[in-house]
Amino acid sequence: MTVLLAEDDAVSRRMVEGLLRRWGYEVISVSDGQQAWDVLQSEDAPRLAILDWMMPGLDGIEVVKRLRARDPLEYTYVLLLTARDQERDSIIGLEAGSDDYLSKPVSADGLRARLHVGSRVLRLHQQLLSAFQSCHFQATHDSLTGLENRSAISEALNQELARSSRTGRPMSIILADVDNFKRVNDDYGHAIGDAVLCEIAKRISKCMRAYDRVSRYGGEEFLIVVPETDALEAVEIAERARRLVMDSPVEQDLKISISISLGVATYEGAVDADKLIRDADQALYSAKRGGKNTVVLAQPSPELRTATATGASLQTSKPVQ
Amino acid sequence: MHPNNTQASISQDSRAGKSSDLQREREAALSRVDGDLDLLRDIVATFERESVVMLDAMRSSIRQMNAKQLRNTAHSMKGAVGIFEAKSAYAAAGELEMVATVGDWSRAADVLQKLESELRLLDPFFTDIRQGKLL
Repeated sequence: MTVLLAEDDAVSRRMVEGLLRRWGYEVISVSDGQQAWDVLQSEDAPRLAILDWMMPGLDGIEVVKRLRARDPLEYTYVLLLTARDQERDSIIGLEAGSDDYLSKPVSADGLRARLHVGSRVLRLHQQLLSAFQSCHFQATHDSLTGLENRSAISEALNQELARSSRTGRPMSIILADVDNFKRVNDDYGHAIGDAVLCEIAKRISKCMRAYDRVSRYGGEEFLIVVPETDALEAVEIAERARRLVMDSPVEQDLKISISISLGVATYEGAVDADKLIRDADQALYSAKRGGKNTVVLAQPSPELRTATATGASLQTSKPVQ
Repeated sequence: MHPNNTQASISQDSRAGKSSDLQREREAALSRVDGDLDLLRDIVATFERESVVMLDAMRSSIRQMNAKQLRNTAHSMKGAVGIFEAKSAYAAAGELEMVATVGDWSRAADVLQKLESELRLLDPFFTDIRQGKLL
């Protein structure tokens, strides 16, 4: 474990540093509060800090206050060193956000015991954080495909709509549905059905850019949010996904080939997420009705169509074969 | 008992008491660094370098009546000598810190002199540490 030691007095610093190294800690040693703050803001900053109260520039109390104003998920355990031994001072230190304090001159036993407490608290914090992250992942992802789930993509969609509204740039969504999926389940069983869904999820994801968001929206339905993308570009992306799913059997052993149908809707201002999804759903319905294995771009609203009647991107509202 | 014998006995007791105090202080200093004599030797070397700088800074602070610098340096000196369990030097450094805090410049030079005397008393201790004859 790495420990940050901030102490302006060279003698005390040498002593604490020596003890820490003797006990197997890695030590980053600095002599003032500003340097300590710089280290604590760096990537992979130590999670355990020993700060002297009185230092030139930023003192230990100020460094602790700044630390505690940050994201609480990145917790740093702080042990405040002080020559002050009045109870009132230790209370000020604790109130400012330090976890513990140790009066100088430091004793090896006192320091070691406090480091053990700090390490224990940090271990517990790490376990709690891992559990939280795992719960968060489960709450936002589909357990079968590993894609984002409906609730996560809905949030992402709202964020992207807000961004488009702010920047005036287009954004699109693609709703994809596996054609005749029920037959896969009926003919080969649910385990094979699941494997087919996973493979389709993988292929759709492969067609997307790093900033596109792919989700499993329902049983065999996938919703993809494609930011900063107009209708024509979104149709091209959807078409790429359609072709890649069709390209080769999605289940190699049983040679199961399958297709998907896709509906595309583009945000051109003045629609909410529900309306955009309804538009994509209607386009998807048209794709199914038109024979499946097709990409269809949603018809723009009559008002928008009138307003942009000469716009090339909105003329491509027929199914793309 | 002859009166002189009583006196001699008290002196012997006093010497024995001082010696045992010294021994206790040395044991405490070693215990403070987890029994690591090399580390203690290293700390002494650092202290010998730093104390020269700190004393110069304190003299200069007194000349310039710079209370903040004097308080901070005396504070650092107090923390440093505390490592060696040097109670009298620790008290003198604390007194100088207080003198700076209240701005009692009439006493500052005397207290600094007292601190310097106390620091000189640490020399045999430091020599023993350097020679590995601590206990």
